[in-house]
Amino acid sequence: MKKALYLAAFLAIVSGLAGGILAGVYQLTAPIISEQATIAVKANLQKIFPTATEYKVVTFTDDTKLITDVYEAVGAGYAYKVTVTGYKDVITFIVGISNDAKIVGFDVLSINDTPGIGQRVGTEEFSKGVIGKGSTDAISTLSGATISSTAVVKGINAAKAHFNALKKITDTGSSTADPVVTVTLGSAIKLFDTITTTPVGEVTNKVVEGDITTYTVSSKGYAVLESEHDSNPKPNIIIVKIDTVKKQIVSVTFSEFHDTKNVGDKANTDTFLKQYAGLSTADTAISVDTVSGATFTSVSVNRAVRAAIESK
Amino acid sequence: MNKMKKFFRSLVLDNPVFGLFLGTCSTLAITTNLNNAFGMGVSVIVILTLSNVLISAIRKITPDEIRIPVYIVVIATLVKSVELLIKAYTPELDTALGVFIPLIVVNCIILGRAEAYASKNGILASAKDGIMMGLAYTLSLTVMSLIRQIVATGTLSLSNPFNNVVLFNISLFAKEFTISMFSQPVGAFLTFALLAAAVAAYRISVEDKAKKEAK
Repeated sequence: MKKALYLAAFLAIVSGLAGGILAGVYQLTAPIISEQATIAVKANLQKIFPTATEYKVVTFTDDTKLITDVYEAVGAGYAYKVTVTGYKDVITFIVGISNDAKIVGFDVLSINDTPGIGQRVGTEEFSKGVIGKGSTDAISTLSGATISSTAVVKGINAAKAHFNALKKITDTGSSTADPVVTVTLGSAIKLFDTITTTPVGEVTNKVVEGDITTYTVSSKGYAVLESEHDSNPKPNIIIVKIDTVKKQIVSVTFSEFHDTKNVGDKANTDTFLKQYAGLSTADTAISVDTVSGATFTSVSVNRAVRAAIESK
Repeated sequence: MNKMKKFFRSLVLDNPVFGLFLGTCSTLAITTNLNNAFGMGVSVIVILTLSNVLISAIRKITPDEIRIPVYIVVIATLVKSVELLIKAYTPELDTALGVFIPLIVVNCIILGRAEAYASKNGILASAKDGIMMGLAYTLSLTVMSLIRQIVATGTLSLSNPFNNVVLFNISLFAKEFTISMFSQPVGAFLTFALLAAAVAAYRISVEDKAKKEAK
């Protein structure tokens, strides 16, 4: 019993001493540290609002819990320090919104995501889509760096929401814009090639209007043929218009698209679909270039067109 | 000469990282470039020496049953005080080392040496042990970050931790030939395994020689 009391007392004394020392060091250094912190933040704010001379810390409430600090550059605008969770680690950045509701500065302070992928949000590639936007405009994410850029866009949106509430601006736009889709055409595939033989498209409707015949074709795309995630996959529905007198394809358009968003829908663009216009229906050697990364959907369109040509 | 040889052997064979496998966590995490290695190395040398001295000083009054909690309190107090002082008086050093200093509390080299050496030896010997172990730790970090930085970026650079002025920045080969995997944790494990194997091979050769001489 005596031993236990002695041990407890010894540990208590050691801890007490440690606490005392720490309190002393803290008292000594706290004012100097807070001074240093303001100097460091001011350097960042100066970059965003070069004309402002006075900065104030703003007290704020933020339901998203993403904003860590808000500063007012008196007479110029507001700067938000935001911390969001990226792909691997947190991403800390500063975004500045000027008093005329324009984003004037965006600077990533720390990022630890994958080099060449997530770290793209720290480069000009991303910041050029942020700076200059209004406080109600949607910000585009980066295609290929979705997780990191979506996180950052969420953080910017939190800053925008705080600014808009402060300035009583109503935000009607959507919060996240769709990523900028770049369509690259890959290898050419002949419409009457073996790859399009099975499974065939199925003509479900046919409307004749003078020279133009409009076919509605159901064609199995990625969702039906490959996807294991979709519990109730549906084929793509494609409208094919053919001029039966000139024997030419007039147009090919999607009526219903059921493949992967942001992947297969690269085939649902003018870049790809325009290739069909003017192709001869009598020539079996006609071909179109498939969309790189959306081959399945591209081929499903090929099958639909072929089914339409063969059904007449 | 013999003294130099002994010094080298103790630096390599009693190396805390590759010989005793202490403090591997921090080693894997921070050896992405030379700056980090030197920063962390210097911090560990200072704190390890101070903690060894303090723990050696109180070794006679510390009850055996609660020595570990006492050591941890001493180490944590020390680290926190140093962290606050660095923050206040050298903010540039804080931006360079800020993330590593709290990590030192859980660096098992510090507790390991406190338990294995400082609690049994005098103040001066403990201080010497702290400096030696710290140096060996810094050496391991330097070698590992040298390999990782060169392979991953093709350049070698170092900046003064006190004011962030770049001291040198040498480009060794084109970016096309770099293996960026080495800046990732995978590269850390690979480099670590290779160096640990090299140290083990050296140890075996030294032991073989000693056996032959004994015969």
